[in-house]
Amino acid sequence: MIGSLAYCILGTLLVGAVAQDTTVPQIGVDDSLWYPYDETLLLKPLPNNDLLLSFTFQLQSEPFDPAVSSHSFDAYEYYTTFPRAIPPLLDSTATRQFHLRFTRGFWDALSWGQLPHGGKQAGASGVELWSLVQAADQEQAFQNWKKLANSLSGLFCSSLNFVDKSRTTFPRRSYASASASPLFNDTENLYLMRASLPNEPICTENLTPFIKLLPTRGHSGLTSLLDGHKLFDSLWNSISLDITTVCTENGDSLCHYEMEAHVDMATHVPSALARNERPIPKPLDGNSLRCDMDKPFDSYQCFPLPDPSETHLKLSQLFSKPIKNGNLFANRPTKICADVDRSTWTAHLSVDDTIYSTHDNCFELSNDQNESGSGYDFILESSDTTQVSPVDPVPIHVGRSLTGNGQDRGGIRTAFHNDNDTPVKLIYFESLPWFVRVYLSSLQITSTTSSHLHEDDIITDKYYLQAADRQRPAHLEFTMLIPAHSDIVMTYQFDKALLQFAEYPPDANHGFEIDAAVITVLSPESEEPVYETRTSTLLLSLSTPDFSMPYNVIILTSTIMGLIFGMLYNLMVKRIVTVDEADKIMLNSGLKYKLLKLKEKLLKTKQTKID
Amino acid sequence: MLIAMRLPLLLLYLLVLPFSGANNTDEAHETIATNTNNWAVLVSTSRFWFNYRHMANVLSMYRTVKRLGIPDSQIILMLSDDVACNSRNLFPGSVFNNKDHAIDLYGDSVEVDYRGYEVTVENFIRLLTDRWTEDHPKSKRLLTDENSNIFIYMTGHGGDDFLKFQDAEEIASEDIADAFQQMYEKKRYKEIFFMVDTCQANTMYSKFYSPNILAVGSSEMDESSYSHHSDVEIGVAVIDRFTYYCLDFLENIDKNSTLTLQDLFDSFTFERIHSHVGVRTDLFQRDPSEVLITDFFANVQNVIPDDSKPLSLSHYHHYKDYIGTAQYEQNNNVLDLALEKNHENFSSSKFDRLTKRFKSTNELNVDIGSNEYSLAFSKQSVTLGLMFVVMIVLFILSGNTTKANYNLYNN
Repeated sequence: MIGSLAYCILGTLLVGAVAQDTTVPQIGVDDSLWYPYDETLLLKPLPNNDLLLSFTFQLQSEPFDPAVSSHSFDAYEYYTTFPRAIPPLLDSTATRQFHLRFTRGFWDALSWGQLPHGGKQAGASGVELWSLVQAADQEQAFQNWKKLANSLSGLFCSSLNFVDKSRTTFPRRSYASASASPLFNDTENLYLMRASLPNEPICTENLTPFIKLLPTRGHSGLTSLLDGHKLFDSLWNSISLDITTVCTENGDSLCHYEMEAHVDMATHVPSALARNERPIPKPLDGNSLRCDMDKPFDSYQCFPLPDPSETHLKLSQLFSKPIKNGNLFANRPTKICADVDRSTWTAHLSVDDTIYSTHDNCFELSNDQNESGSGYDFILESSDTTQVSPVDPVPIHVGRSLTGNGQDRGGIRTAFHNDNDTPVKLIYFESLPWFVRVYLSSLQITSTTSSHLHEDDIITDKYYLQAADRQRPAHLEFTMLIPAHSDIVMTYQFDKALLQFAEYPPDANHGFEIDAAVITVLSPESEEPVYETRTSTLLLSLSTPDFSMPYNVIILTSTIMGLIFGMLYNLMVKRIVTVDEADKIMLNSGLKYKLLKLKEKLLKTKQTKID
Repeated sequence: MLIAMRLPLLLLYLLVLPFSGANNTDEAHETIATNTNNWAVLVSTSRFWFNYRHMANVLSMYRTVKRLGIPDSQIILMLSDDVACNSRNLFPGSVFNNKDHAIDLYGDSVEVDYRGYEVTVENFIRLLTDRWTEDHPKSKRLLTDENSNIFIYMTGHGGDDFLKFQDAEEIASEDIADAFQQMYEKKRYKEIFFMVDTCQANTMYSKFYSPNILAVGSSEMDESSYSHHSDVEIGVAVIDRFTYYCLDFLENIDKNSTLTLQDLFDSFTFERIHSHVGVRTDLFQRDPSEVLITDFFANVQNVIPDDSKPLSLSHYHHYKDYIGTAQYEQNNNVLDLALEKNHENFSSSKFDRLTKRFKSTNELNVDIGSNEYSLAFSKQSVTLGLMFVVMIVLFILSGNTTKANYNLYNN
């Protein structure tokens, strides 16, 4: 009994000791420890009940000394928010900057005005990549570029490995914003290279790695809203990534990487909301039609009203989920802004059944408010959705199309429309595949608004690098001055080349995509790029061979040769006899007869031996 | 006389009999999987919207394999066309394998390694044999080693010994067989489970000759594989019968399932699949009834528990002081433990030692790379040839005696 008592005491002592052992250090948020990560969401209602959403993510890496090679003994790499996949890629390919664009859809410039962020973050329909690579010569630069494109194709699940010499151009004046970059080795040069895969399919597999590069990885903050189902249901969406190397000017010669990631989408709000209730866009029942009462209205007639102009839009309805929380580790909290017309629109932030509003319609998601963890919701209300904050007018409208018919030649027609009072100076960049054999001598400028037009007035500078078959695309770069209030049309002709049998893609009859033309609008005084826009891509139909013909020819020829040979052989070798004759011959010289003879021989020899 | 005629034949047959076996089991019969990692190669080979079901097949397998634990870094997904974000798709970003739309196969986190025009015969063979240029990214390579179990699934349109890639080119069953042999010689797999869902699928594995490959095909030669059902809203068929019933079985599997591949094969009946499913087991060492589903579809490793592991650091210190460091280390040497357990599996009696020595020469040949299968095949053909010749000779000697006699008397 004393023993059991002793055990009890021992037990309690032990428990006490164990309980005291729980003074482990707590993991909490040290308020002074912040990481460089900014995320912002801008909502801008557009005319026609459309909505533009712009997600912006900005990150910075820890500083490094470019003079110290990453292979040296003392080198170490320290990552906080910056994705770990990028710096080794930049280091191994000597890349100072690269810019990647995944865009899909049509940006309606007439209704929506300028592209977001001055067009600098949007690409053409498909995938576009350009980078600034440091190398000793052009060949080495191309090797680094190829390595970069291949690595990015693995990272972003995109077919960037198809980027080769026949798709890469070295832009002269376009993409000038990518020119200011540090050079780590004075004996080498920086080379700007650009390639594009027009109309490359863009889907969730491109979005997934993008989200995983960001530190929140889709689990909290604004990245929790990024969902392929909603993003790719929009009228226009663009995913872009910009990585640049920035070196500080002070004496410590340290550099760091900066990453800017954007996701922009323009959706039609009523159809996006309707998809939540009716996944398939079916016609409405008669009961749910909104009919115009002023016009004849009965069970057989209904003049539908246009889309309602009042709205109470919740972000959680649009994305089927609220924003989980603000990011928990950044310098500045997550920011949501609404660029709305203050007279008819209001913007509120809703969290834990509390509605907040601010004077400038910008909200910061600090996590003190989100105590229940139910997330943040953003509410846009309007009494008249036709009143939106004014869209920035586009400096120049450009449209490009193919002309001509037939399988051996065609033309390209680019139309510029300048609505402004001042002339617009722009750089027109075009990269055409080698099988589009351009005749620059057929270049013509015409106008419906001005007569007495001279080509030199419009195109002030021309750069043309001819294509080399399978080696280089045709590279056109024109500096153009479009007069005020004018319509200028530029046309030129080309011949279509024939490709080799194995060069045709599996669905050759679909046609071949031609890259979009890139237009960089320069400011009139300083010649700095102000706005960037791209035309649409073009689908060129080349003459495609009938791929079944080799098989057909072989079969037909072999059949005919077989028939001829067979007929001749029969005529020469065979003899027609009657059945009785045949039997007699067979009896005396057939296979059975020979075998019998052989057997007789063997048996006879045996018999003779016995005898 | 008849018996006298037959006797040499019998003796000949008996002499040749030991050499006519095709299977040479080199090691003792293993019953548990000893792989350390699992990989999956999932290939869809068809283009165009009306082949939606092939994409859905592959994505269903992708989802299964991912659900059971194989990470994206060990899955190579090859989708030959984009259906999720196709403008014809009424549900952008979604791919369904059933008209009830219960599961969205595309989901939120999908990584496609080869898409669109990248899915070609050349890239597939290069992937299996790992022959790439130095620029090729690691995420698109099959980085397997000799301890990897690989699940290879192919679907599309196929025929007699071929599979159509993107409506433009074909891969022959001999090509895949040769690629697997290269993989065997380079020690790039421990076991391969090859599943193919096309028309006349069983012909695709008929030419394999490398060991440790288990193959299943959805239909015999001259037989078509059928789609299961169409979705009116999507407008095309959404899944094939074979894959549908495969998934029917696999959806009930989780990581600690003890069901075997034989259970999977038993669930395939002609009434459900409308075609004869074929299984090829002769190249595979283990019996399908011993192979767990999770050996190929999940990322489960067999763990040998170290029974004599100390419970805590204090225990280690205490025991070390008590019995001495050397003794403690000896008792707790994991390497020794692993070797011990290994020896348990291969308990050798005298006969085993004898057969081991006898078979060691075969093993040597295997290492050098000589074709074991062809050696056995030639032995078989020699046996058959000999028998055939003997039978002809006997036929000549014994047949048609009456007619010969008649001729003799006639003349």
